[in-house]
Amino acid sequence: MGWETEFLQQAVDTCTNDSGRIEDCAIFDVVDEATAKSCEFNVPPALSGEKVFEALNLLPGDVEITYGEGSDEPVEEKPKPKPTLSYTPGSIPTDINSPLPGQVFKETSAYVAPVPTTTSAPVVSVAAVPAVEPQPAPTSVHALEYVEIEPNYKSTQLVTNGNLVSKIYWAEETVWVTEVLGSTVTVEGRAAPSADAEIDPVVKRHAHRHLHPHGRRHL
Amino acid sequence: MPLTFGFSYYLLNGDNITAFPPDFQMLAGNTKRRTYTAGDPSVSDPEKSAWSSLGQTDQDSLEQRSLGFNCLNYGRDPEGTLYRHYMPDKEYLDANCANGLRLEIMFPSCWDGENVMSANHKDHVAYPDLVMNGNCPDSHPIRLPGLLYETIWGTQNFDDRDGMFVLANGDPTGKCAPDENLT
Repeated sequence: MGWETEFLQQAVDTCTNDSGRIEDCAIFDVVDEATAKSCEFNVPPALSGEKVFEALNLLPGDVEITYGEGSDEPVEEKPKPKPTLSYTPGSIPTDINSPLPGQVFKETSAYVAPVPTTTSAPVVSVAAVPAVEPQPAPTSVHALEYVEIEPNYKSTQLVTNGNLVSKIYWAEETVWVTEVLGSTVTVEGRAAPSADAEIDPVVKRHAHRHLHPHGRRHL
Repeated sequence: MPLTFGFSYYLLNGDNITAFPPDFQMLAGNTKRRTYTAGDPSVSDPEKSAWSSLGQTDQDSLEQRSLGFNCLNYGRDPEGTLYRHYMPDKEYLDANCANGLRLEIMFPSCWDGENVMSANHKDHVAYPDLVMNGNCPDSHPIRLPGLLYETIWGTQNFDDRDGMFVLANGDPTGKCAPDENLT
């Protein structure tokens, strides 16, 4: 289970293209999105009987809430209030391929996330996709998954922040009509992209960017 | 709560990165931890150049800084990865994290080169001195791919209800981390 060691080593050593795109790495044979969405996760017997969709007295698996450090025993009273670390925007790393803690190596604020799904996706679901369109919820554990971008977007937009370039696929266009002082002004705007378009550039970019043999760079 | 999204990153920092050998397993984090002792959790990490002089490059401190709880709000510039090392309470989440909470965990990426497993599932690996990058300790000189997991949770979908978020192992503070095995 997991990676074949030789294959992973080959990936580490040969995926040297600075484009960061996984399709520029010949050893990968990634499935298309439709195939990825059709994958099913066989819930292990130990989990399949867990109640997760109803009100419970304990956490699933009869797990107690434990407040005490190092303890399995629940403590009667709640602990002190949690510390609050308020918002600070993350700094952009000088080498976007070698981020450090506290730095942002995802997209900038132009990043538009996938719409979270509140349908009945089970907690342990990996790639079970609700039938509701368009809300895929892919998860990727132990392996990189490349998702082909579906050609259903209306336009693309490039946003540059420092040395980080984000490509956004807009799936819809919305025309906004604004009424100003009795006259009608039409302003063309853009709606949020669909979940498909939102997820794909994220998956694509991150599948690319981090399969670099950074050992080869001379800083 | 349904898992909204999940990502695994293979960060390739350093020279001569070695792929995980067969039967390799490792664990990141400590399921029983409930407090943050690697500094003041209500402020961000100190400047990285100071970590060594502050005595914060021991494995215990680095492990505590390998956890992140990212308050997602796409209306503003994003917080950094591994910025906040504990789970904010529901009041904070409801007020600030309109797009949910992203859990981040960075696995150790330095290996002793011999053992694919150890008694506590951790001693055969170690963090480099900047958690994600930096120098491996002499005891663990072999660099592995740096595994970073992200999971996004739709906490904002519960802002109209009272309650408390708890991790599935019973941790209400977020100080532990998921057990993971890699083979």
